[in-house]
Amino acid sequence: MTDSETLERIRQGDERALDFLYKKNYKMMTKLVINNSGSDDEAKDVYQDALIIFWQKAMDRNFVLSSKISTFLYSICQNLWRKELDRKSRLSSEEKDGEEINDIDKKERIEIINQCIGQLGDTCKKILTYYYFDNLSMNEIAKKMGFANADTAKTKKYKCKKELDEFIKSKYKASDFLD
Amino acid sequence: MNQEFDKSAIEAYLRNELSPTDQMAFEQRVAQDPLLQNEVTLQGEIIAALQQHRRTELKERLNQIDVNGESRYPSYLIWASLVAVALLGVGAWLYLGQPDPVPAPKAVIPSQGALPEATRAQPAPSPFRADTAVSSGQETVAGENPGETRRKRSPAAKPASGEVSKPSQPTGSKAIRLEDEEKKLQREPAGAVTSRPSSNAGSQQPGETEKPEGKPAKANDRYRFHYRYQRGEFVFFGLVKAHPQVKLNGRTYLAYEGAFYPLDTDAVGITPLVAETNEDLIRQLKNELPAAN
Repeated sequence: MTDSETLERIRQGDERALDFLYKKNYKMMTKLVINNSGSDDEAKDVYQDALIIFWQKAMDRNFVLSSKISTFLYSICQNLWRKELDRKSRLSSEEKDGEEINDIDKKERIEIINQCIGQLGDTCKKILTYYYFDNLSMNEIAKKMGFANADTAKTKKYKCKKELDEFIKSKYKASDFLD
Repeated sequence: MNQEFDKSAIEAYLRNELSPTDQMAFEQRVAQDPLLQNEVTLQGEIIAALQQHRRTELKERLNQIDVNGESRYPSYLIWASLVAVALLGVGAWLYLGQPDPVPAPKAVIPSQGALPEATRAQPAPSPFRADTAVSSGQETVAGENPGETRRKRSPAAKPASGEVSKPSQPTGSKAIRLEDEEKKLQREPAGAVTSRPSSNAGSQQPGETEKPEGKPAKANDRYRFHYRYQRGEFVFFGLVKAHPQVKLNGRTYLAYEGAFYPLDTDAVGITPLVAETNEDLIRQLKNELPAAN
């Protein structure tokens, strides 16, 4: 599969293109982390994150690939690993500050949100994540989900989002009440 | 406040879909409206959580991949390719390996004094019933084709005894197809053959005997109204149903449409049926004919 074919397939939301890229570049990308004081697990984690970032970027129709995919991936891996090394060094030199303590409310909200997402039906989960993460068009979502057309996908997306919002708000109110 | 409008505006804002001007205007509104601000924050968190959900899902997918395998293609694809190649090979063999089309006998009519049904043992390897066949080219080929399985066994044949074997030596002679419209066919021996299932012929399979319209009948025309002697019985080609056989002076004749056709037990190859012309013999044969005919 050439780079342009891979890119095209990613843009159609074909996860097999992601699998293909992952396997193809695994050794080269993980070596980068491992050779820079990273563990195997860290290397794998960074590479997976980099690949998912690439996946998301590739979805953007304005994205232009100016180098080979592998080169592009390599630079994402480098940046991610540099950030991770920075974070690690900061953590080791500083005591944990109260930054996170202020976010208890937020954490609780996110927990509620995640619970609600977890309880969504599979179809709704897919539609919403394809829309909000993969940035797939309604047409592509319809194709992927086997819907008749983009309008069906749009209606379903609207209903699913509404369901999720209402679910979250009902839970949120209950938790507020308990507080 | 129009909440629906706000929702779509919030979403457009969070997805960076607003123009710079609209974005600024929206941010000003948010700054002045605490309720809207809360909603934007919540919606931002919901979208972030959905994104995280998908990210986790994709990571789980990647974790399932075996990165140690050298193959660039999933093993199922390799297997699928191998199976496809094998099927193509078999198909080519079936297609190219077929001998000249030979008609399947239309009806098996035991000759008088011939072996009873039970003795119609069939050592021939062809499991494809010949005596259900008709005279269409397509079906005669099918009768020869070891890959053809849609042939149905004649009820007359014993399950273990197999069938009349496929003709192995096609002759170039012409045969007439026999059926309910036999006269017509006799007049037009090479005409189109659209057979009709005959209630008389137990071996007849309706639907199988129909020749596709407009299909040339050349392949089987040459076997129309032929017969051969095979394993103790006369096997006819081009007959839809059984016709009476009459024995006279030690010889068997096929009675058909008022004419009599001598049958020879030496006819191991496919032999055309030729009507008896001897008037005396015909008269005697008519006397021998069962009343039903």
